[in-house]
Amino acid sequence: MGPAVLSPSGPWSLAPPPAGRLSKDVPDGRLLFDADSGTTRLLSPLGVFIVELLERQRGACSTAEIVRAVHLEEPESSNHECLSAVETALAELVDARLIAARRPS
Amino acid sequence: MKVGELSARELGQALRGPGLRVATGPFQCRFGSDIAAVGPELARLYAEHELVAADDSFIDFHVRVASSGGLRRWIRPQALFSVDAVTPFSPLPRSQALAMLEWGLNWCVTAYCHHQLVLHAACVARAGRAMILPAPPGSGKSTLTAALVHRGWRLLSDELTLVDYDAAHLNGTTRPVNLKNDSIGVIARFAPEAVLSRPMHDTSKGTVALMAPPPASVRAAAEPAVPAWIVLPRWRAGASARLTPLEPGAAFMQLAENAMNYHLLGATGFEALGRLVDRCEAWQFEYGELDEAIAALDAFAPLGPKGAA
Repeated sequence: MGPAVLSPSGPWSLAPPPAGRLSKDVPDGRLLFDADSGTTRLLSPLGVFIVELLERQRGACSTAEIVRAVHLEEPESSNHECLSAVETALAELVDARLIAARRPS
Repeated sequence: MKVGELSARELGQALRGPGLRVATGPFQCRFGSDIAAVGPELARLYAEHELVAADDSFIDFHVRVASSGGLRRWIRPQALFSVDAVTPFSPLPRSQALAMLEWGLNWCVTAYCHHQLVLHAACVARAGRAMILPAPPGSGKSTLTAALVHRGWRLLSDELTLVDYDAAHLNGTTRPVNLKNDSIGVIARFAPEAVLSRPMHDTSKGTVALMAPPPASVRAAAEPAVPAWIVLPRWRAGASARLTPLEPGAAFMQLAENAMNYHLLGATGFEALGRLVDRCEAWQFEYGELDEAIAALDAFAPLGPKGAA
């Protein structure tokens, strides 16, 4: 059996936090420190928004649902702008191992 | 007793023999050298520093810069740095012995002082409030620092800023400022009273000269300062002085990049840096001319009626 193919459009859910992760909220996002890797990151405010959205949902969200939620917060932005920003933030969150795309069951 | 009160003979004897024991901020160092040119330069650069009595307390760093043996005594003579009899670096031309001693001492602080967060940053203070100036080489950090400390600011450090884990206080070593290339002439003209070593040419950093810390800074060396501002300077020819606010998260990341032992300290380093950022306003600062730059930074901490730094 080959590796699982994950949908790029989600649905997205929070990944279990690694042991020893520290975080600190700052006005321009959230600082994260992973003790295992020694890596420090500054999560963008949009990345923090998506993480908090997934925490509130207590389940998975598709990219389209996340874009809708962002658009409600930023109604002056076009859908295209929201999608582009969300895709960038999702990539950031995946890279930080904060979220993972779940295979549709 | 101060280093500057020693006669040339006493100084030379100390350097060649038991060592010159000098207090530099929170550290006590023992300098040794058999290179004749080093003594007079050390005497000028450390003139205001207090000597540590021979029977007094612990010495943190036993550092020495000595002539290489063999042929290198006469043909292209070299100098070798050692700390506690360990020689971490390759030899350099003997004409660079003084710079090697200072760079070696910086290495000691970086390599051994993990009871504090060590930032690769200059630090100056006024009225007890400190400004941290982290920046990569070539940003004009040392030039700006040298200028500030000749215009009412106190030098804590030109190169390494020491942060307590609770980030409540900063400590400096109040050692000489490392000026490079054009900065040497710039500071000689800007502050004719500045005490500069002779230039050392063809070092890995180009031509280098060391500037003695102002006497008032040395006298206040043991006084910690409260962190208040993080300023990331960048010199650009012809630029007007301009301060741009820097968000705390971005400031944190800049400091982490400039912290020498952040990765070693792990969670402790993260928390210390977080507390430091909480305590400070952060700015990016572009400048092109020293008088204008100082006026902009003076606005943070106007001198009181006594002009105390």
